[in-house]
Amino acid sequence: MIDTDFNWTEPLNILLLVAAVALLALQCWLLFARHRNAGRFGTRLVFNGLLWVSLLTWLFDPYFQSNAGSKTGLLIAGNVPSGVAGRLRDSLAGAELLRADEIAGRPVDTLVIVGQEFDEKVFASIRQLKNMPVLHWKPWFAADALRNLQWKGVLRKGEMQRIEGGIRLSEKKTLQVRYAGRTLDSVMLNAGENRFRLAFPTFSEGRTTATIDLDGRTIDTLRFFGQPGQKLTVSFLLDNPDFETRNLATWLGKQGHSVLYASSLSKNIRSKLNINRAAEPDLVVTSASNAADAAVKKAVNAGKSVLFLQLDDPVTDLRAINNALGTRFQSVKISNEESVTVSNSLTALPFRFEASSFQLQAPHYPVVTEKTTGKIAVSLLNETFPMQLSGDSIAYGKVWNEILAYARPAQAPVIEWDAPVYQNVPVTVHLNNFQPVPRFLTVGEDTVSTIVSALNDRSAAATFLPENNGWLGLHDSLQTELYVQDYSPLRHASRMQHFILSTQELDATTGLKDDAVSTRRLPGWAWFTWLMLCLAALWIEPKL
Amino acid sequence: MADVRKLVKSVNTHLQWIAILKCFLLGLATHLLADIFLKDSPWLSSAVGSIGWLIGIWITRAFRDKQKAAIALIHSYNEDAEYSLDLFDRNDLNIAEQMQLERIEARIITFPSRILYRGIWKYFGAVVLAAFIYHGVLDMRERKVAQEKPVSALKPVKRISGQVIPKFESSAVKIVPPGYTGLPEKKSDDLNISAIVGSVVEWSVWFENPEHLSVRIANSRGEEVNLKEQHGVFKYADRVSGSGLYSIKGYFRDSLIYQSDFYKLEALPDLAPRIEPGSKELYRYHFLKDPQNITVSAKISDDFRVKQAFIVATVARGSGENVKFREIRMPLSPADFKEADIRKTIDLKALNFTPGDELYYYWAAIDNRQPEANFSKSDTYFVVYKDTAKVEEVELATMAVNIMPEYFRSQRQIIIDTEKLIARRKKLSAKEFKATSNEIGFDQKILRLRYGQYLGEEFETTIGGDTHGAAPDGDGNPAGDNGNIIDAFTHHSDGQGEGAREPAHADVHAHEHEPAGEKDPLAALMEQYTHAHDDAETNTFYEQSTRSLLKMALEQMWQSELHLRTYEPEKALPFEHKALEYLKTAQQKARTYVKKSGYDPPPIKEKEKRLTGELKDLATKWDFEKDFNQKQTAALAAALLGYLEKNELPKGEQAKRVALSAEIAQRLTESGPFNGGLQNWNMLAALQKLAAGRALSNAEMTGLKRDLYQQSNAAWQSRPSWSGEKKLEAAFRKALRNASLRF
Repeated sequence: MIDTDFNWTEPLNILLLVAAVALLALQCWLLFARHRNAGRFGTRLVFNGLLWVSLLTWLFDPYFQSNAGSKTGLLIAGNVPSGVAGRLRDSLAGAELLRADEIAGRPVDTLVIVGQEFDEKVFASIRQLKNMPVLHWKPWFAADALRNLQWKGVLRKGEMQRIEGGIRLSEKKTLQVRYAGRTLDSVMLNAGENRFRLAFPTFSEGRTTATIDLDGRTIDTLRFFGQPGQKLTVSFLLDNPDFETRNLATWLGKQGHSVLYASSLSKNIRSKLNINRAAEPDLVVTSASNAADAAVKKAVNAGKSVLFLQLDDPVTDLRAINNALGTRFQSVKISNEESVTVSNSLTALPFRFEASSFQLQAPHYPVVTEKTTGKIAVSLLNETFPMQLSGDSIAYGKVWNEILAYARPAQAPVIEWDAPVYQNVPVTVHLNNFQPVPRFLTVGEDTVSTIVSALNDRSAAATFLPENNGWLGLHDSLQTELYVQDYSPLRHASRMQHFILSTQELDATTGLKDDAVSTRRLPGWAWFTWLMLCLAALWIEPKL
Repeated sequence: MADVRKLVKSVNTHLQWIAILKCFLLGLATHLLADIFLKDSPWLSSAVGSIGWLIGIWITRAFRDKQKAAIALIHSYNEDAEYSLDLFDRNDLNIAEQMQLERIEARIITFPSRILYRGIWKYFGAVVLAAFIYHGVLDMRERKVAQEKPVSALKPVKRISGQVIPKFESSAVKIVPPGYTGLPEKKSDDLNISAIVGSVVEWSVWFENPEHLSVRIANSRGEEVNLKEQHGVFKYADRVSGSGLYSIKGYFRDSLIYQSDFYKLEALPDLAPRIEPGSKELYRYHFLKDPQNITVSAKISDDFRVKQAFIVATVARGSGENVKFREIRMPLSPADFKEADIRKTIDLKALNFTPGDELYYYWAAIDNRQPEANFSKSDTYFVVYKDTAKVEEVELATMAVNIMPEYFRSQRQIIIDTEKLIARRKKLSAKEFKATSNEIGFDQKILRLRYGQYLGEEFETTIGGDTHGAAPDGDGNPAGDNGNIIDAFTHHSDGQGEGAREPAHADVHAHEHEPAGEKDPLAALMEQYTHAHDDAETNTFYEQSTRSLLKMALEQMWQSELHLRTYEPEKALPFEHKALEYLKTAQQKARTYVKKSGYDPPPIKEKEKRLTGELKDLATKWDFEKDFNQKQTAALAAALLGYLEKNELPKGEQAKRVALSAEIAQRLTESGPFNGGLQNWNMLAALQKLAAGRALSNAEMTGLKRDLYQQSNAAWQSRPSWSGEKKLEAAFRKALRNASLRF
């Protein structure tokens, strides 16, 4: 295969090409003008053509690629069973099997690494090779061992912790995430390759340790930090007081949120109830008739949320909301009944929201949110207080917690990282909505400088290499802590992944190389000789 | 001679005393052995000991003269005696004997007295052995007891002069369940107690140097009781009546020197007997053809023993207000069991169960709880004896032909019947025709009487017949068409006819004209205030026009009956029609009156009316403030969970953890047993430990975490949020909306 690296976009190259074309034209004109009647016109034409083609070829500098000569090395981790290793060797014909200590002595073009449990020295010796081989990593995990495990290292209380990963199972088994022996979530997995996802709401404030169990056997431990949930300030803006909102306000107050409950009792008479010393609201709860109210608009423009409750006629009410706040809510009638049952003792208006990509619907209840500058949420639920009156305060809490989860404005500040974090494997901590964005982040005894995102001036990231294991304090206002794992079967994989990525970063200018190929170019001296020969031929030929 | 005699005598005495000694030793050995097993009843063991004593007397023949044995013994050891010592006992000796006696007496006969004591070692051995066994067993028992209390408690504690602070050594608890349960007595050094209500619990606490020490048991509310000291052991015994937490506290001269963990004291209730009847059908019918015995079965069980089970059956007879009940209690066998399938055949004949009766029965059982037995009963079962002789209205409704009109026909029906009769006149024989006509006339009379009741007319004579006072209205009364003769006849004849049976006719009318003074004075007084419904003239069931209409209809019925009875159905027909017309009119009238009673208020225009009231004296500002200071338990549990993972806490956080655990423990104890509070012993104990600043074991920690997790009410409350650069976000949203519009 003949290839060239000729860069067509370079103006100089184009100029050179134009010059070459011009040269051809000059050659042809001279040939025709002067030597048209010469005896060996054909020969001269051939020589001239040859020279021009050679020149052009030299400009393009073609090269040949061939895999034939590329040397492939195979480095297999000690824990990979011989059956797997043998199969790989068979499929990679001509690959040399390398031992870890032979890497420096036997240079190869491509190094296929199987498995991940290697000594630190192996990485060092690969790094130190003069010709860095192209690395291929084929991870190997034993059956029933987790891989690509990932969860959130820090969450707010009440946020969903999601655990994702893969596992190869020899038979049908149950994977559970447990806390102190209590199952938080579980999934039944079939034999073979599986990807799984487990989720549970964060329930603690502080360090939390959960385990992942496979059929009752603990196979990994999760550690994450729970930040206390952020308390909201909710403002109720109502035309008339009613039991539903009143009850909701009390419930919110009992949950520790601050509430400002304002409603008109009569003409020029407004009642105001302030629960838990509320000040500036994060969330405004109101009815559709107040959509155009100045307070609502102000809240939306300030990036706060608005929740609309108790719609009378969803079609007209949604139109009013859309007009006032620039949203695009649309409802569809689904029943001719007065109300539809959502769950026991919970009913909703007989409408549903039209799904659209820029709106978010709550999974269990007819509640939809759309983000403009602030979040606008609309609920189609009828009264919820009967649930509480009938004694089911848990169900009541569930409904409103979910609605609030969707209606909540962005929290401040947000700090995030992906767990697990391993010793000596870099980790990136993401910061958002800090005011102002800190220039430094203190992690344990290290200080890491943050890099503000180019696109979003509210986001920043800090990458650092943890050296100590255990819980490291972040010394922020929430006293967040980060857990660095010392040992885990996944640590090797993580380190290897990081190593492979880091080697590929070196070739960032040319893009990632798939495979090591030996390129054959005509050396400079050959070009020189050949061009000299062509010129000599042109010079000598008239002399003969 | 005296020497030999003396010797024999001394040997004899020796032997006797030795025998007594042997008896005594044997008795002692037996007593010791008996003591091992019958330690608690000294009388019994001494009785057994005296049996040994008696056996000894029997074996050794003590208290008997042992002269012969003594002589035999001397003979066997002294050849010089020549077996002639028996001669001492004889009184009449012959010459040879005397000579022999003298010969012997001259000799010095010696006897080694140690021979006498030969064999006594066995008895001593027995005593020693018995003593060994006695002490060995006693020792073993004491060691067993010593395992319950520390070794040092058994050792006398060296008294050190000066003030020595007592030190807690150990504690134990003895639980004696109530006798009726049959449960064994339990001793344990785990102070967490779970016992049946009524058990006697005895605490024993050992302290080193228990001087000036008072030991108390304190409950979770801080109430305390003193333990009594008995030989260095602090004891307290009481009956279990309810659940709670307690700890043991030691006070030395008013200062608290020891406090134990909190232990649970759980009172397990003795459950009431459980009755599972075999039949689930609570209501069933019994028919005549069914057997007169019904067999019922039930499974009755109790956690201890069921003392007695029985069936309580009640037979109800009669209907309406005349219902009589008879209750019978049938004890069931077996009695006093733990679990049994009981079958019982109820003999209905014996209960005198007859058609129309109802039998209610239920199972009941009491257990052997003392002092008050638990009682439980099953659902009540009903057996209804179907009375097939009684016709029920429901059955009538479904019958093809309604038999009710036989004795109560409507006016319309009478008209139809009359018309039918006229049509069939030619086909019928004269007698048949007359009979039918008369029958219809009778029906007409029944109907008239019926309507007469509505007017409050008690007596047939007054029903529709009393027109003496009323002005005859010519056009309204068809009777007028028929001439006065018939009219007069009608009233007259009927008045006479009925009047013969009802002599009150004249009296009724007399009432009205009677002067009040001639009446019973009280009745006269009452008359002014009461309402005479039974008088057609004064009743107020219907307004005036309706009553007169009805009256007119009744008059028509009179006429129609007259013609029917005189076999002139054609003539009766117009009266019948007229009567129907009046009846229908009266009905219509009643209806229109009802219809008028409704009232529809005009609708309120809410939007116009709202907020338009007068607001003169009303405050215009209504501002309230409210604070929910108390954090919810769920939030506290979540916060405490975070502290549990940390092993070493800085001082401030430690204080927080202590405060949190104390608060949660407090709330749990206060929340009562039904809210998962007090039952949660382990959690409470762990929280108390944390509150006291002590470390928890792994198992305790896991348990506490699990319980706290449950308390924390984990719920999805928030979603990850990320705020972005405003302009960028706005542009993104715009693009997203446009993109979604394009699709």
